Amino acid sequence: MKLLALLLLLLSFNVSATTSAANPATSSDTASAKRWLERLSTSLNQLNFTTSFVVVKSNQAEPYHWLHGLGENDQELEIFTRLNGPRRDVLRKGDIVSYIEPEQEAYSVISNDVKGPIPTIFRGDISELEDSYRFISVGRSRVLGRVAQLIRIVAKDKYRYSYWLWLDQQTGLLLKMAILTRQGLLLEQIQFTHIEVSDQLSENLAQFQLTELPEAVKLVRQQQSKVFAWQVNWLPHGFSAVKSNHHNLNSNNRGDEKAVEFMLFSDGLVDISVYVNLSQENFRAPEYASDGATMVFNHIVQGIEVGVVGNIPLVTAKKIAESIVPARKKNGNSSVQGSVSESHDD
Amino acid sequence: MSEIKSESISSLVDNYSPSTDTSVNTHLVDNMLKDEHLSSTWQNYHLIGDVLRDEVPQSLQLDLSKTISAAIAQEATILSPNSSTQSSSNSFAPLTNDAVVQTSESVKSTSRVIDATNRFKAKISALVKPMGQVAIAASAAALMIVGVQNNISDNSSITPSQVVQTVPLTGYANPVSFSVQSTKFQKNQQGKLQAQQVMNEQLAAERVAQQRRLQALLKDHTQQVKLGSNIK
Repeated sequence: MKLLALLLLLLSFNVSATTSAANPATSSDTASAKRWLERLSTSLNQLNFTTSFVVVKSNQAEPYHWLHGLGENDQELEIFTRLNGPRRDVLRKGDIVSYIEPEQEAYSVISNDVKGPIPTIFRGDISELEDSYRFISVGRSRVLGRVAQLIRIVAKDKYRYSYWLWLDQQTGLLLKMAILTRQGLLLEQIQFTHIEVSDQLSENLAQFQLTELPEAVKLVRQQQSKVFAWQVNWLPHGFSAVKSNHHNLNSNNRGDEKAVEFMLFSDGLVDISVYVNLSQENFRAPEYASDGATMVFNHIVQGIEVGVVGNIPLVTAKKIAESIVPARKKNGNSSVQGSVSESHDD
Repeated sequence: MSEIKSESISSLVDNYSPSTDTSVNTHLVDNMLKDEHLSSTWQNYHLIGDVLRDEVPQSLQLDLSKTISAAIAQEATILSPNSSTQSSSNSFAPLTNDAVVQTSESVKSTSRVIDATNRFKAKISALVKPMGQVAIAASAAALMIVGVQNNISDNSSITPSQVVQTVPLTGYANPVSFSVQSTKFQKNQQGKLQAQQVMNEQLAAERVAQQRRLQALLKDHTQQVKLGSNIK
């Protein structure tokens, strides 16, 4: 009986706490959410941590190890390891990122971007996202046996997904992440299963500090004079061009390589790839598939094959694909930026 | 007199001790058992109470006691397992001797036995309950395992797309998984007309080609994303 009374008391307290948290003006909520995200960023940059997490997509779960630490001269060391199946590691030492994958020889890239399951923007300047997303601090819950603060990164329009982050109150680190549609449908989740923060560099990272990474690939700088035949006429607000090039798209090394014109766009959180090439077929109905939050879209209209890939809803992919037009000769691909602003709705 | 009696019966029905008149009080129950009129009053009061409390069963069996006593009277000597112990204790009296006594006694003893078994059951169930819950949890786990195994076997039965599925991808993204539907479709159609089969093969080939196209895109996307930007 006593227990029941206590429970009731707790419940009422909880309710009053959440309502009082929801009552103040939304601006303060946003501000506190931003503070949380900034704290996440500094924690990800400065703490020595050893974590494990599981990426849960439609019907599969993939476990990873993630280690991070500061080595000599405050050089950042980071290891992502996929634990199931063939080995896939991402190693980072300062600004050299190495990818070790079963299909090809290990290679390094000079970049401050680790393309792992966790978006790198969380380590960087979160205010880049303010254009396209709202930050909302929601409430507290218990994740991984810790007190967690739920922060929602909500898309301002219907053309992208929302991200929910559960952050550790003690360390500010990520405990759980979910990608949801606007309707609240869960697409992908990352659940941490273990977190350890230490003052010392962990043994694995100390060892990694001594190993040498493969030589960095020299990326050929795209000549600006190169002519691009196609341009994207519509993109959701906030996306800008990251790069564009011509390369061969090899379909599983079957020899039927085809040259494509490639464009990469990003809004800071999400990358969208657009592929355009001429096809012998005149028409092919839209085909698409999704892998967790990643949408792959492809169609042929009037002899032009367009592919769109990224963590975006189908509507967005379709709309982008339909907006492909022959480039106006003078502007080249810079016209993309100009056309971006027209898509500001909701 | 009868008015006082019925009044006291009424209060007895309502769980109050009847009037202070102890002479009525003490003999009330005995009188009631003897007097058919009083017992029917007792019965009626209960029925009224039931109706008022809305506790009347859907099919109202007005005289349960009569049917029960009739059933007991009709019941012959029971040769139940415990009647053997009964007969051994009553070995002086022949079995056919006094049916009424015999049955009443056997009823008593069975009721005792039932009582004991009930108590025993209660104890057991109290003991077993947590175990049962564990068992339920365990069976749920077993179900899950079965389910998972089912899934696995399902996956392995995807023959046409297996080739595609085993081709590893470059990035973290996993093989595009829409193939299940197509294979189901294919399975259902198998064993039908050959023309249809040919069509299916074409369809499957088309699906494989489609999947290959989409996977090539996905693969290249993850690769390109890793290579970083060249505009800055």
